[in-house]
Amino acid sequence: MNEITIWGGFGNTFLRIIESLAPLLVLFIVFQLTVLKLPRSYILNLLKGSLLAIVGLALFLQGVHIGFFPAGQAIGEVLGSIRVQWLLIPFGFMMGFLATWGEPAVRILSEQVEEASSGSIRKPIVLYTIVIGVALFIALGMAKIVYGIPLLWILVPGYLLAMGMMWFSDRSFIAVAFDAGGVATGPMAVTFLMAISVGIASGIQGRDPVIDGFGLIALIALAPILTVMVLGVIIRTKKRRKEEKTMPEKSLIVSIVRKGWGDKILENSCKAGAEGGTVMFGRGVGVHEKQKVLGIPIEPEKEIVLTLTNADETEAVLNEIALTAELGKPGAGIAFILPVEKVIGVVHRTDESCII
Amino acid sequence: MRSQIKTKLLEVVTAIMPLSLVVVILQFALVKMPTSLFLQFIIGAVMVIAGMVLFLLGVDIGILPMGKALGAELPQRGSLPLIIGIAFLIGFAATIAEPDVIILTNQVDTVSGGTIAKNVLVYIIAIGVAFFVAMAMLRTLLGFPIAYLMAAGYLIIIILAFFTPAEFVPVAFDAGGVTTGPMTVPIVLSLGLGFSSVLAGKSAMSDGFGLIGLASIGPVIGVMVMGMVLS
Repeated sequence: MNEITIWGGFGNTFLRIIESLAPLLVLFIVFQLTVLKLPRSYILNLLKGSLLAIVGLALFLQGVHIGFFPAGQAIGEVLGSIRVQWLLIPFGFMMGFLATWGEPAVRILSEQVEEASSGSIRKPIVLYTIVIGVALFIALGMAKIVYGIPLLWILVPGYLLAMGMMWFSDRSFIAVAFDAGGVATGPMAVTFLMAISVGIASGIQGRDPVIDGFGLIALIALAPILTVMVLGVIIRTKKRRKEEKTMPEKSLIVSIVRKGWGDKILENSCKAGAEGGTVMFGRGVGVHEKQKVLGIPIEPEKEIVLTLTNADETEAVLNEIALTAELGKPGAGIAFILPVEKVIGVVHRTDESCII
Repeated sequence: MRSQIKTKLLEVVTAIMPLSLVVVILQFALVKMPTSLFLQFIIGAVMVIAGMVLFLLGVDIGILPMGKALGAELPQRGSLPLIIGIAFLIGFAATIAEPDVIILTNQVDTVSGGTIAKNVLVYIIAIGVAFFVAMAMLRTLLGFPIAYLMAAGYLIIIILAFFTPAEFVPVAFDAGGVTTGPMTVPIVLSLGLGFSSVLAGKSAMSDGFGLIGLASIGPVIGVMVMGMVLS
């Protein structure tokens, strides 16, 4: 009976991980000492976290190495001699799904996408998109080994398709899609799935493990690029449909004028088609009115009028405001238009404008 | 902290359990490995779960904030060579030490019978990664659309693929995939996100990502060129 090996090569893995993190750590400490100067307790936390990550990753890789790698080899050998070979295709789908499901980097990327998009693209959506993509392509990879399809026949159309889809995908999804291709090929895929596929390739006659067994990682890298891009296309069409639905758009006209002019503007903008308005008081100064009294600058009082209008009426209302407040004259005030994303609380009982 | 560990543990168990269960079922139904090997698998699976909990926790509280802080500080130094130099250094060092790269080169070594030198392969992959990480930082800074860079990169790869000796093609594509392993991902990802977060008019969502994707192109081209030179 064979000996059980648990810690073989662990020290080596440990050193490599420290080596890969070292430049970041050193640079960070240099920046911390010279410019960043973050509080001590915060730094201590970061260092603790890095230590945890190093120990954790070393454990994880060792576990994959002693547990999943030999298991993958054994499974591959048995399956290489299977008689009903097309069964390998659904089997590949399942294994691809499960292995990617357990890949840590995929989870890190999904979480960062949720954070960077302020929660509008949720973590499970990204996770499932990547995992299903890899599963489909592992199935394709099995078909490749069983039927002897050349790798380039899949890769070249795949990458061409990815490039084509870039023009239809939501812009911010392009970068995420290509990143997803990188993260899907982590230790689980490289050791476990690769061991299975090399085992199968050496079991089937007429297959060369170098040419047929390898190339699997290339498929895993391509898969999420395509599926995340598809997600990008779907989200873009959804966004568009939403935009069409929320027409007519609203705009906000902000007018800052001299004190006492606010009510006049309110009145005239209503005549021009606005549905209402709000007057606020403020203080401020423009280039034409920089005055000082005994060295103390004066900030004349202003009135700020907020007017919410439908996009098609904005131009007319703005013109009316400019005329009323004589905005053409120096020092009279300014007005500008802001796009409005969403409005709640505007309920129309009649089609009439406001009455003053 | 305690509730954080709890949620991470739950996530990791749901991540690793399904695969482990399938392996166990296969073991009894079909594969029948020797008992010692099966025992080794069980111990390995437990180590994987414990390790992943610690790793994800450490990445969250240590590596991501550190990378983001460093990335956010870089543009404020205002020196282009410094930004490119640091991106190159981090990309290179992370790849050389990346466990996946070592696994790939070992496998290539055994299967191809030593015709592809191990060390040369590692350095070619690392230089490829470092070059493209630096390029990616530059594109974030200049606001160049990533679609053009990707399209150009993959067009070069597709054209080169037809001139590369057949046994190098799968290795080249695999090299692109393995470079971005579990340690490189959080380091490079957080660097890009931090970097884009402080630049005016850039958002982390559309400009912060893409470093890893671009980093995968370099080694593919590098290994293909090496294959052409060697034959």
